[in-house]
Amino acid sequence: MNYAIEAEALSKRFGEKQAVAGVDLSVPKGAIYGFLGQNGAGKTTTLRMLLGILEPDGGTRRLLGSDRPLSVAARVGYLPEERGLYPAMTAREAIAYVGALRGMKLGEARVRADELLAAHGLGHEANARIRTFSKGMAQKVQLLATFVNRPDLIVLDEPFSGLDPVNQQDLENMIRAERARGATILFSTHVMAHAERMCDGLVIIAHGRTRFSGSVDEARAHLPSRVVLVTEHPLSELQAMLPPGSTVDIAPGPGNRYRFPLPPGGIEPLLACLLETGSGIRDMHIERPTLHDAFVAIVGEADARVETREAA
Amino acid sequence: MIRATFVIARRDIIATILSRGFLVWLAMPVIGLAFAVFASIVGGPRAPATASQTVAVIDPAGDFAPWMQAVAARERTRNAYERLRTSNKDTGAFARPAALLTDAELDALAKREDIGAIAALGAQSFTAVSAEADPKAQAHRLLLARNSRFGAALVVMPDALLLFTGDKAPAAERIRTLAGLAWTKRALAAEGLAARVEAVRAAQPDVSVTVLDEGAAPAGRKGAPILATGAATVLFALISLLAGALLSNMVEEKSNKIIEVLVAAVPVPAIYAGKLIAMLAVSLIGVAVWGLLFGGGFMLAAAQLPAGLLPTPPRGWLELLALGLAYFTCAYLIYGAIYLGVGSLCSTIREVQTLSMPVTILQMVILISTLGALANPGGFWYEIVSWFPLSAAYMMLGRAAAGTELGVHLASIAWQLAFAALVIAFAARLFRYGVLRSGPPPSLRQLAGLKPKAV
Repeated sequence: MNYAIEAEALSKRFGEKQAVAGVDLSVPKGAIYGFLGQNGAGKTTTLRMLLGILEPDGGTRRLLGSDRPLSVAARVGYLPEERGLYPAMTAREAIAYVGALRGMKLGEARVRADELLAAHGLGHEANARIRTFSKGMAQKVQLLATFVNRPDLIVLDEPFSGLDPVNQQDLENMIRAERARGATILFSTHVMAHAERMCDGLVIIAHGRTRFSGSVDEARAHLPSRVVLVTEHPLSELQAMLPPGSTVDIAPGPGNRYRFPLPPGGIEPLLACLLETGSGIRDMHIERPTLHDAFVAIVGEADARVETREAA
Repeated sequence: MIRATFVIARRDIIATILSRGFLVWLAMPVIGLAFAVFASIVGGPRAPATASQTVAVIDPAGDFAPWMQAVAARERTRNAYERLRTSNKDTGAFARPAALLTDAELDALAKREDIGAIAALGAQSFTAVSAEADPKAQAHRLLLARNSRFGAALVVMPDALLLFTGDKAPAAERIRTLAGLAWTKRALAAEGLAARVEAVRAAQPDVSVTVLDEGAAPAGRKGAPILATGAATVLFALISLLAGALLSNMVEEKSNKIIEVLVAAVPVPAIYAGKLIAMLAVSLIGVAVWGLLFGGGFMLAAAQLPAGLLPTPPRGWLELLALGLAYFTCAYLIYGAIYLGVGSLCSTIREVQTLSMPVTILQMVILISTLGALANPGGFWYEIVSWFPLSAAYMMLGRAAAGTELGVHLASIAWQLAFAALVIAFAARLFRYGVLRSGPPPSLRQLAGLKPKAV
């Protein structure tokens, strides 16, 4: 498969602190990939190494087929975690400047800036100075600057933070439109809903190491599905109805509510049993684990491993 | 990388020129000069300037004032002759030392246009005032009167000369010397010895002086050291004023948080070079504007002065100005790269301000070393200061004013530009480690581009 980003065993140490201890990452061309991790997990450092802002202490990286990221800078768009623009510049010039830095001709970059501003509701602000913008508007201008050069690869570090729900939705649409154009997108976040909605693949890191790589479904499959059952009459002998080896985490609530892992044999035997005993089923459904649950579980396992290693 | 350098330079130039502060910055020297002129007018002497140049000669006997006037006129001619002789020593007309000129020779020289024009500058006048019964009281009254037109009063007694001066008196020592000379001349004339003394003076030979110093300036170029010192000092002042702004340049980028966008798109050396070029261009605009204003004013003023009064560079003004521009560029790039590199390690303006004091001290040390070397041409130290990168631009401009060959300058300019490139590369590496990695400072091994040792 053709990859836009390939990284293997990337590591980086800042003095005494091992910020990244071994990150593996492969992002196929044309995909939207989420890069997930807790605060301080090493996401930003990894992205900076991928883009050539930082040199890794160990490991290898290839960006659009090149091991010198700056040599392909004209084909890359990057939104850093810490947003920054020159306050005295106009919105058009700020976007065009990033385009010029990324190899575009200035005139062409200005035309493109006007197009982007108009398409995203900021056309009337093209000549306004950044210092007159609200934080959200300035952030949107920087987002547009990231797309100015029609990059083949777009790297976004926490792109949704600081945006209101309408602008978050707008950004989601922009990302999807870029993917439809053929671009590859890698974005870091710790808001699982965005990743769950948008990503073709995920990489989860914890304590500077890759802990998971795969699709959203594969991540969710990390935990078993659970059955939620609500009955008319209490089921005092639910355990007995389940296949041997099942455990029940009964969470009775109003209306006799039960929640337990999906039995390995499926739900049908249990359903047949419930019907036979006349328990009065009011609701029964299978609850798949969310990405949030999977992320917490994966990161929790990593924490436990680190604690065990430190204790040893 | 060159393209990226110019993209960054272009943005910085436009941002600086279009900023509100730029016009103020450009006008500041002019405002400063205007303020100085205003202050000198408001706080300066209320009496007409010529009043302090006028000396009242109160002479009851009535014959001293003409002697005083004649002696003063001849001494002015002698001084004017000496000033012109400084730069025209080799020509026959100025072969004779000024001190040996006779009264007749001085009277003849006074008729020359160039000497006469210089002698007329700031001339003191001696005005005979009819003596009253009490000459001392008269002198007091003349000087202390409101709006007095005299700066001093000389009372001539039969056996003494009494000089009274006011607050704004002309140089008392000079008047005393002239009065003494006039007294002697009058006495010699009274004794019939004036002609014989003049003959003795005319026959006095010149003292031949041979300087046994290989590095000394060629004879007849006494003005060159003054020009060299002046050129080096002006360049130093410009660099100190203009390059210092680069100390805080990268702090702006960091506080705007745009630095990561730049570093992700272009190589760090291109960012440094772009910023340096931008600030150099802005500084050159400033120098050009100030040069036109002050240089034009200076040329207008100089045109009013008699020819030969100002020193001329041995290799001409055009070459000196061209080399001045080249050395300004070299010095700006070297100091600018150092300031940019050091400043980029600071996070706040406060840190930059703390750093500016040692930087100023370093500059002063460089200036003192340069002026010291220029004052003592030749030798090991002279060459060291000429080629040491931080002093080379000042020193070589000083040498240009003294007449060093063009080939040496071209070699020096090439060396300085190469050193500036080296500083940019080093500063960029320091920045990558010191700022972007936000960790401890790099080891010398890392700065040299070597792989760090395995941990």
